[in-house]
Amino acid sequence: MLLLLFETKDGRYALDSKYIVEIIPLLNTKRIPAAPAFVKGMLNYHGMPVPVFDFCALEGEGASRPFYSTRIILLNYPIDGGVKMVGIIAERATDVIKCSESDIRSSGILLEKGWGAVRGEYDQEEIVQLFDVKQVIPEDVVRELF
Amino acid sequence: MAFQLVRDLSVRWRLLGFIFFMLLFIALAGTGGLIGMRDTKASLSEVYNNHVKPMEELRQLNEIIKFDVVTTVERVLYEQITMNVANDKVSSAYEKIDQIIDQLLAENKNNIGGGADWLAPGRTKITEARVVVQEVINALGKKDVDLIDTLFAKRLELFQDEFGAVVNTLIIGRISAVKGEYDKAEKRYRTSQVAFTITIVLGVCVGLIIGFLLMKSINDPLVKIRKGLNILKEGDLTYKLPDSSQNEFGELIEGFNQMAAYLENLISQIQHAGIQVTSSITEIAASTRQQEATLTEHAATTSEIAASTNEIAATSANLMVTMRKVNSLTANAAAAAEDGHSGLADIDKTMVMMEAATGAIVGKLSVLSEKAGDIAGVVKTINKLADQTNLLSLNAAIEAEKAGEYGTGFSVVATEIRRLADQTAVSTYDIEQMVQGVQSAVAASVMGIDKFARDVHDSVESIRDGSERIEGVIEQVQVLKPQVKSISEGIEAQALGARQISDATSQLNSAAQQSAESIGQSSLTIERLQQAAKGLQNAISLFKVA
Repeated sequence: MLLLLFETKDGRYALDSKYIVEIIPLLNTKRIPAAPAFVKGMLNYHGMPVPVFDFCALEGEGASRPFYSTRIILLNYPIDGGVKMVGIIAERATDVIKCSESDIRSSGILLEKGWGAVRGEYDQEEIVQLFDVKQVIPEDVVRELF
Repeated sequence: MAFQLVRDLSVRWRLLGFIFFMLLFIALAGTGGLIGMRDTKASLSEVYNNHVKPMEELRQLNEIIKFDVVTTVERVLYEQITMNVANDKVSSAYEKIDQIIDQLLAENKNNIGGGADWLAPGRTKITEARVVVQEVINALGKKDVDLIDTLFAKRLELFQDEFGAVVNTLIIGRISAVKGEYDKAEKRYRTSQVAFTITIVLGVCVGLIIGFLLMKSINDPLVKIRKGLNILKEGDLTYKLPDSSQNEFGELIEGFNQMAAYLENLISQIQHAGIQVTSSITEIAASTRQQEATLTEHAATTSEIAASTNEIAATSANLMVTMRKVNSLTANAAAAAEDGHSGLADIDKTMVMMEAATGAIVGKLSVLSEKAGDIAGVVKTINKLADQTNLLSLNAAIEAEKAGEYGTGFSVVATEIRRLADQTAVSTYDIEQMVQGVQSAVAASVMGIDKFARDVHDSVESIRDGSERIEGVIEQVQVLKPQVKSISEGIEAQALGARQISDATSQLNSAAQQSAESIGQSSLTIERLQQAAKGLQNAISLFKVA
C-alpha cells in the first residue's frame, strides 16, 4: 500500500493513498459562514464544490502555515454508502512511502477518535501516525455541509 | 557899604591883595636900601681912588728913594757893594719911581674935575725925584767915588729930607680929605636910618591891621562851619547853616547844607538797608548751617568715594596683570587656531575623499543587492518549479499506485523525479538561505554605509563649519590681539586714571574738609557779621533824621 506523508507542527501523519483523488497546490477558498473553525472554506474543483478542512485546526494546533509544501489533498470521504469529495490542508505533503499492511502496528492507545497504527520503521526517531479519514473528519459535519 | 563890598569879595582876591601889598612894601624898602648902599659904595670908591691909593703911592715913592737909592749909595760909599751892583739897583728903582710918578700925575689929573688940585704943593719936588735919581745913576756910571760922595753929601741927603717932608704934608692933606668924606657919609646914614625906621613901622602896622581883618573874615565863617560840623558829628542831620555871603564860604556853607541833606538821605537809606542786611544775614546764616551739614555729608561721601576709588585702583592693577596674561594667552590661542585651521583643512580633504569613496561603496553594494535580488527571484522560480515537480511526482505516484501492477515502472520514475525535486528544493533552500544572508548583510552594510556616509557628510559639514568658525576665530583672535592690547593699555591707563582719581579724590576730600572748616569759619564770620549789622543798626539809630 502507498502512504502519503505530511506534517503538523508537532507530528507526522500518513494517509492511505486509496482515498486520495489528487494533490493540488494551496488555493484560495470561499469561506463558509457559520461553519466550524476547522472548515477552511469551499473550493471549485472542475465545477464541483468541495469543502476544505484544515488538518492542523482539526488536531487543535491552530491554522496551517502557508508553506510551498502546504497543499490541499482532495480525497473521497465514504459516507452513507457513497463518497463525497473533501479537501484537507496539510503541511509538507511532499513524500510518499510504500509499505505492506503487516508493517503497521497498533499503538495500543485508544483515543476518542480512534487513531490508526503507528509505523516505527519509517524513521528511527520519529513516529508516523496513520490516520483514518472517517475518524478524523466528523461525519455529522460532512453531512451538514452537503 | 564898603565893608559889605569887602565881605563879598572872594577870599582869594583878598589874600592876593594882601600879599601884593606886602610884596610892594618889601620892594619899596629894598629899593631904598639898594639906593643907600649904592651911594655908600660910590663914596667908598672915591675915598679909595682919590685918597687912599695916592697915599700908598706916595709912601712907596718915599720908601724907594730912602732905601733903594740913598741906602745903596751909602753902601757904595762904605764899599759894602760894588759900583755895578749899585748901578743895577738904582736903575731898577728909577724905573719904579718913574712909573709911580706917572700914575700919581694921572690920578691927580682925573681927580681935579671933582675937587682941589691937592698935588700942587708937591708936584715940583716929586718930579725933581726923577732928576736926582738920574744924576745918581750917571754918577754911578762914571764910577767916580768922589763925585758920588759929593753928590751924596750936597744933594742927595738934602733931597731925601725935603721929599720926605713934602710926602708927609701931602699924606696929612689926604687924611683930612678922607675925614671930610666920612662926615658926609655919616650924615647920609642918619637921614636914611630915619626914613627906614618910619617905613618899617608904617608897613608893619598896616600889615597887622589888614592881616587881622583878613584873618577875621576867614575865621568867622570857619567857626560857624565848625559849629555846624560839631552838631552834625553828634548825629543831628537836620541842622542847617544860615546862608551868609556870596564868596567861597557861601558856597562852602551851601555845600555843607547839601552834604547834610545827602547824609540825612543816605543815613535813612542805610537804616533801611541795615534792617534788610540783618534779615539777609540771618537767612545766610541758616543756609550756611545747611551748607555745613551738606559739606559734612559731602566730605563723608568723598571719603567713601576715595575708598571705592582705591579699591578700583587695586582692582585695575589686578585686572592689568590679568590682561597681560590674557594678552599672551590670546597670542598663543591665535597660533593654536592657525595650526588647527591647517589641520582641519587636511581633515576636510580626507573627509571629502572618504565621502566619495563611501558613495562608490554604496553604489557597489546596491549593485550587489540587486544581483542578490535577481538570484533570489531565480531561486524562487526554481523552487516553484521543484515544488510543481514534487506535486506532479506525488500525483503520478498515487496514479501509478491506483494503476496497480501496470503502474509499477511509472511509480519508479515518479519516485526518481520526486527525489530530484527534493534535492533541488534542498539546494534552492540552501541558496535561498545564502542569498537571504547576502541580502540582509548587504542591507545592513548599505544601512551602515549610509549611516557612515551621512556621518562623513555631517562630519565634512561640521568640519567645514568648524573650519569657518576657526577662521572666524582666527580673524577674531587676530582682531582680538590688538584689542586685547588696547584693552590692556586702556586698563593700564585706567589704573593710572584710577590712581589719579584716587589722589584727586583724596585732595577733594581734604578740600571738602577744608571747605567744611571754612564754612564753620564762615558761620563764625556770619555771626560776627550779624553782630556787626546789629552794631550798625545801633550806630545808625543814633542819627536823627527827619
